[in-house]
Amino acid sequence: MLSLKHRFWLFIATFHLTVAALHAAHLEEWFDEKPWLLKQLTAYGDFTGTGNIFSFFAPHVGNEIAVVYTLADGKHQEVTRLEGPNTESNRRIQTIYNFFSIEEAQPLLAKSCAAYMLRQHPTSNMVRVTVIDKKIPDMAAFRAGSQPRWEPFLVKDFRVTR
Amino acid sequence: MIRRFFLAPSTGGALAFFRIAIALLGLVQGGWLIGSIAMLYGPEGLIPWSVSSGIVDSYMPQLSWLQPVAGATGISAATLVYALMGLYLCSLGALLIGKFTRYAAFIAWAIQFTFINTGFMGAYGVETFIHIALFYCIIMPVGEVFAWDKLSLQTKPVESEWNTLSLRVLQIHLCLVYVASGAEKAMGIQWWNGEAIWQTLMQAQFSRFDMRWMANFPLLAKVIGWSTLALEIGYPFFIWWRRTRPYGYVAIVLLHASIAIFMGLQLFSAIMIIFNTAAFGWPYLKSAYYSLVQPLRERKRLQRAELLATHAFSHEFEM
Repeated sequence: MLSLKHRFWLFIATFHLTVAALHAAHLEEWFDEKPWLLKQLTAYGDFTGTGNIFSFFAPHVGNEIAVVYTLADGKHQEVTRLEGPNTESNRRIQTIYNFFSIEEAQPLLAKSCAAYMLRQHPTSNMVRVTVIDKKIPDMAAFRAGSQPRWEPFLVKDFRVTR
Repeated sequence: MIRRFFLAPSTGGALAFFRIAIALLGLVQGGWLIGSIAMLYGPEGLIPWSVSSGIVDSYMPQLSWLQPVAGATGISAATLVYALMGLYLCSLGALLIGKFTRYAAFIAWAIQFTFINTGFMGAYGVETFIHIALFYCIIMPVGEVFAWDKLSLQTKPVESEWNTLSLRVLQIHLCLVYVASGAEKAMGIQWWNGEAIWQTLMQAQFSRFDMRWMANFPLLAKVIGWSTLALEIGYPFFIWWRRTRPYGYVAIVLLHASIAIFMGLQLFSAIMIIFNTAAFGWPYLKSAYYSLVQPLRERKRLQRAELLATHAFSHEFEM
């Protein structure tokens, strides 16, 4: 016979893993509006790590995105990129840039990036944010001579108003 | 049957390995990111607090909660972020050595959660799994073995049903992760025709080698794609069956090692190998230690004894 303590912890384990399975199966997308119970399950998932989906590189691999900044102070201009001190840091910058693939996120993200660059370069009073993505041809096209190329898909100018 | 599967007593070696390896990985990651804290998590970082706090649910702990503290104390918010990161690294240090294990795990989990909520746009798989792991370090008995708290010459590792239950949760969670990841990949045509492999290896953010030659071997890209799907979707089957488990474990470790080598995702690969080793690979790691490292240490000990004996008796015999 299982003791009460054993039963309790078995129930907790089952509940925990069920929440993990439901979230992995995109539970939140099943409903148009979040019912009360789903909100509680989402909160539980957020805090315990059972609220994740695991769509790494799925269902397809997105284009690589890069951002080029053109900083100007009225007399000079400089074209630069934001780079961290190491690969882990750059990986996170890249992950942030990947949000540019979501159209609704573009204006706010461009503004945030521009503001950060202007703070880093206080002598500049204008920045152009150029977001580009790398179009990689499929293997057959590459064999036929097509080459990967970077294409801009968002250009936004920001000026210091102070 | 439920009792035998979930509650048969076992020792806590695998869970201790999990604790130590996760703490070590967290420390490495923290050390790597310390120079970019202001940019990634600062109040005026790439994604400033004014933006992140508007997106993240208000009940989620986030760094912008430090703002009133900064106002009250006169210490800048950026300094407080660095102090919090310092506390996070200290708690990981305590978790590593097993001192105040549960408290250390709780503090590390709470701070890591706060950081990833604020810097959620820059977070990727490795943060997800550290978060899962730190939560498990609070709940599971990860500090029963190889821990400062339990340091005593008299005590031996005690077998407990809670070790088994914890391992089962870890194992089932890992199976869910791989099946979900594999199923999502299988929905995309790119994983069937090899384009996912080609596209990934051609991206500058991942590629470590010039892989253009792969376009001439599309079948190779296809086979790698299919193997990934087979490994991920088939994970629960080959990892649970005792006869295929060692091969499955080695295969999944090789998959993650390849991701580290060819895509430069070292931390992500490391944490997945840690999860797999704690959940399924610990007995193999232990037996590898006893069959490879232990004999080497024994041989060294014998050599040393031989040397000492030679010295001790050298005056009695003509050499």
